[in-house]
Amino acid sequence: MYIYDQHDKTLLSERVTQFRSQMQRYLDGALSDTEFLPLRLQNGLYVQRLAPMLRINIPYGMLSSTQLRRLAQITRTYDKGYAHFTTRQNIQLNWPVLEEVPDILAELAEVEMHAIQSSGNCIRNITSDEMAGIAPDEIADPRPWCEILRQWSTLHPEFAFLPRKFKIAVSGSPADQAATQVHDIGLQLQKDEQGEIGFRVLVGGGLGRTPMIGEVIKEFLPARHLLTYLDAILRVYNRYGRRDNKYKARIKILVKAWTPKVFAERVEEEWRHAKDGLATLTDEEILRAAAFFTAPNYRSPKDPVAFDAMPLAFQRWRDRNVRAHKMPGYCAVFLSLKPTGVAPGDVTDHQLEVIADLADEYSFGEVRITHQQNVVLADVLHNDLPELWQRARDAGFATPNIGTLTDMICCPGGDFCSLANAKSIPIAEAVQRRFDDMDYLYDVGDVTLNISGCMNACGHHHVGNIGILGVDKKGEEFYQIQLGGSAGSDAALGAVLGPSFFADQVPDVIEQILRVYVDQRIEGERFIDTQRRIGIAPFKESVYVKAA
Amino acid sequence: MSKLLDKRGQVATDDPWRAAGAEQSDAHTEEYIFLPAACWREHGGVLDTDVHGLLLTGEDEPMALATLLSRIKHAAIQFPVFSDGRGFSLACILRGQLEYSGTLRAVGHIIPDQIFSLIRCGFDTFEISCDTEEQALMTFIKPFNVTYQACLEYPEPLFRRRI
Repeated sequence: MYIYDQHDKTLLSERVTQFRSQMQRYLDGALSDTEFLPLRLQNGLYVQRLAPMLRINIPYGMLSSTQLRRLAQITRTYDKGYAHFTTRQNIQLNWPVLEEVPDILAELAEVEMHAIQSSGNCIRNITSDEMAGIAPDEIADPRPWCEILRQWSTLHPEFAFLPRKFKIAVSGSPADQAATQVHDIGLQLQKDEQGEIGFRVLVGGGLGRTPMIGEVIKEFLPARHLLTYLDAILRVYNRYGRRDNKYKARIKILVKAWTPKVFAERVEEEWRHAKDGLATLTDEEILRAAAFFTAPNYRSPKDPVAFDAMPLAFQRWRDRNVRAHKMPGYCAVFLSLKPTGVAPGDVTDHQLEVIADLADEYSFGEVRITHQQNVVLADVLHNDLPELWQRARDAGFATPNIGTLTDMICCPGGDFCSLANAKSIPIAEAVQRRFDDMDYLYDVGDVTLNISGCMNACGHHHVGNIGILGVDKKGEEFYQIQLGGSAGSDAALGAVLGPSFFADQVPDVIEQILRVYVDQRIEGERFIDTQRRIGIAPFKESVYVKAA
Repeated sequence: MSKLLDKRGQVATDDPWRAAGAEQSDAHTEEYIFLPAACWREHGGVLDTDVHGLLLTGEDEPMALATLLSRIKHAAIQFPVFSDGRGFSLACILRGQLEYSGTLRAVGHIIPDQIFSLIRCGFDTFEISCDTEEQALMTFIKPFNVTYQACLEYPEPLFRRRI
């Protein structure tokens, strides 16, 4: 993991001092609401429906056990004893007190954490793949590049007042677990024929009101040029992105209006001036960053234990919640934060401490947060699985549903968020209650279900195999269903099934959709493959005939 | 009431310069005034770079004004509202690509919290529209002793300076 030196520490402590003074000026009336707004957002502070909300960055999803314990303590001292992991690998506090936010930031700074640019019209938390550094098919570890980008983007003097928010994701393997195709900039690590590391650069992806898949503007950017090239993209966007309408202000609208080709040309022209300049990465800096993300001290594996005698529940858990690791004898274990009856991504203070303990005992003291709002212990000895399974079960983390229907992505929705048109958490819970039969879920297999409470799409409904969007019609909450989305390397936006439904119809509709899949699937075919093969019509027919 | 501040935090009380208003068609007849690019195109022949400056807005293309920028001594960039960040990029282009070395002022709506970034992008004076006491304004000049990116003070980004 990256470890702060005196430069990083000084900057962070000065940032806390700065925000404390901004808060004081706001409370004293010296800063207006309008002027305080971008300043507080750039420190992750929203004013929500019921209370302020503080979004804390988890750079590229990595947390140490020390940081987890501090987060647990913060939720106890300053909040209601729980927190929420987001789809951009961050963590949110839903009930902080406005005046205490500077104190929270000071506590975070002590464990090298912050909320800098976790919101606002600026470059947000750099996200990555939860399998970074351990995926068997990885081309290169994305984390050193994420850290280089975190530093480059932190308090960048030129890009703090962009037309709109700006999200960057980096992926290191072809499977693209980082959803790079639906980010403002997606960076896919590549190796050229000489073995040199570089990036395929995509721009203009995004969800929200106008969902779009990103377009490749550079097939291979040698890695040393990363910062100068990104400076060029951001400068073009900062100057030409629309500022007259916030719904048309994301970079994707500019890329579409100009066409990706013209956008790429403008970036090249801008880049010409900075290319090979002082912001070009040095070999020393690349090595320095990489040195923080070396493999932990793996033990040479003993003979693998056979798990034949373990109960079926363990086998299912191992099948769904454990992933292959590039190191023989090791595996990655997913702790599910999606048991029935808990808002997806929510954790209590006690659970945060249990995760810290499990990390210390089984995974070198580190965890990763996934954009599906779960937690990964990345370096677990295969032979430790039975013991870890038991511990995870005791803490409520062993629901064997990773990648299944009930492993839903869900935004906080109308229960918390002032933008939402409809509630989303109760819908997630209703679906979980309907599909609590593990045999059935296991049989249905891989399927992603994403729920957003409004068209801002924080629940990524466009890229769910099944997407649910809350809509408001004359003060009543309805739910529109979409099919066919995907956030992986086969990224696609879902298509609307038809007219929307009442909340209490949603579980029936999902059940009907799954019935069509089970009837029509060919041996071994995932939900998304069947849906792509047969199209949307059979689902539509079945759902609406039944509804009528 | 707006104040004019320099990058050392000093408030100037006798600075004669001001920006021409959008509707002011005869502004070029005055002195110590920042004039839009269109005005320089029309009256450039009679203007004096000691008392006439260039006023840039977010819509201007600085590269198209390269010749003009190479001879003027005073420029200002207009911020229509503080959340419109185009002026930061314009300043970087002026200082970085066009090597403009004259004075550069931020005019319009900016807030004290932006001064540090404005300095880093190459501005040297700022019209601040706030009631903040002069003493307090000093704290906005350098809230950070560490920055990751290159800037005028440190032409190299931190990664080339780290020890």
